[in-house]
Amino acid sequence: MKRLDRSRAVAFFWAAILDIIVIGVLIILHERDTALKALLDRITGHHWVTKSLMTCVLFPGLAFLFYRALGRRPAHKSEGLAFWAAALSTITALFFLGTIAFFVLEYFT
Amino acid sequence: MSTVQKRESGRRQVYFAMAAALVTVSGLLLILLSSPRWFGHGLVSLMGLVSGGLVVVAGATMAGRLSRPGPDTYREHRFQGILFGLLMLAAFGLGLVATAKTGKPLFGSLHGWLGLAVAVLATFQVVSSLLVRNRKRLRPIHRLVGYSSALLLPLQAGLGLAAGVTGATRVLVTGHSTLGIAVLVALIWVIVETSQQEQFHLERASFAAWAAVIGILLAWLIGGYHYLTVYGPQLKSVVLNGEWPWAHRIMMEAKEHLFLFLPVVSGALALLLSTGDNGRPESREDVRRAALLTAWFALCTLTVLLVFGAFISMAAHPAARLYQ
Repeated sequence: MKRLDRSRAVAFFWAAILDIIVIGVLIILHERDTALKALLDRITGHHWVTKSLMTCVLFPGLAFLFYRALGRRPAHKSEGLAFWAAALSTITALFFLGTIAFFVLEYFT
Repeated sequence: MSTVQKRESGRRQVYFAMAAALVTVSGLLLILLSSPRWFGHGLVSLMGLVSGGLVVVAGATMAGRLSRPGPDTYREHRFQGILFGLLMLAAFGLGLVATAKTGKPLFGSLHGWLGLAVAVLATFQVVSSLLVRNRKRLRPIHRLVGYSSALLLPLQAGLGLAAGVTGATRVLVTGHSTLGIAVLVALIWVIVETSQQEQFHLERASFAAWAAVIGILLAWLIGGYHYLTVYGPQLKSVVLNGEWPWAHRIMMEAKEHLFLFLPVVSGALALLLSTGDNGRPESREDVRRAALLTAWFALCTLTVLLVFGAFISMAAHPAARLYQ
């Protein structure tokens, strides 16, 4: 099996980070904007199903695109996968805690 | 092994045994005095689960699967093995007491029968290891029974959690929670495989990460189906009008959305482990560090979601009749 260059593995972190930003922002926005929630409801019949489908399409799609794009450039000696892992964890943690904080505030106000 | 090391190891084992005894006594008191009665049984089982994990880790280390065995690995394996056997027997006994108190048949559920199976397997492991002198002949059976028990434990924990918090052992919730715990185990496996630079097993870590992804996808499907067909139409209003409305308005609202992050994070982890290594040593180390960090993060996120799930199920407990 052909070994792939490390630089291409970064594509999965970039795809994951973008996916989480899009879904995370959508979660907060659709709770504030009833028109957006209604739109998401209309697409599949339930807003949660729409967001699930978006996740199913967005992450593999972006990963494929980034992976292909990175394949065209030469491999770098050090791409810093650990840095991108930390970036993914930090961004996801921010949206994770932010979403919980949002619903806690909604409940008490 | 020096005398100081032996003393330290012995002291650690004494503390662990004291903690196990304390947990068992507390479990018995909780069953006799409090409601819900399964809390005591769950507490002892949780301690057993920790001890069982340590038995498997020490056993796998002795076999050279994880890292080089240390001077006290065998002692640790034997000590935790005996303790695990005793804790499983205690958990099984307390489970019987708790069930008897409710007036239900003692073996009326799969959880009860599996509990009996785990208790029998644990007893066999301890007794056979202590009595049989020629351990070399016993080793293949010992490993087979050990790994079988390790596989049964997450299933048993999931069944127990679902039975305890929903008041009924129903297929969808049971499947969802069992898969969640199985994913937890798979992520711990990834962490074990990637935690040491010298003992980094890329192929096994990759296998465990893909197992986690499959578990999450199945939990997503089952949980989603339950959410849309049972929870939304029937249980949501009961939770909102019950004693814990926050279980829906904070925990369920957050959980249904935050769950969507897990397949993405674990998917990135599995893809990284499958394709990230280009054969150079510095690349391998970078992959290991990135995988370890991502696996730890996924584990923490999943733990929060499991706790949320348990609270939501407990809030829906008065509505368990709707499952009938």
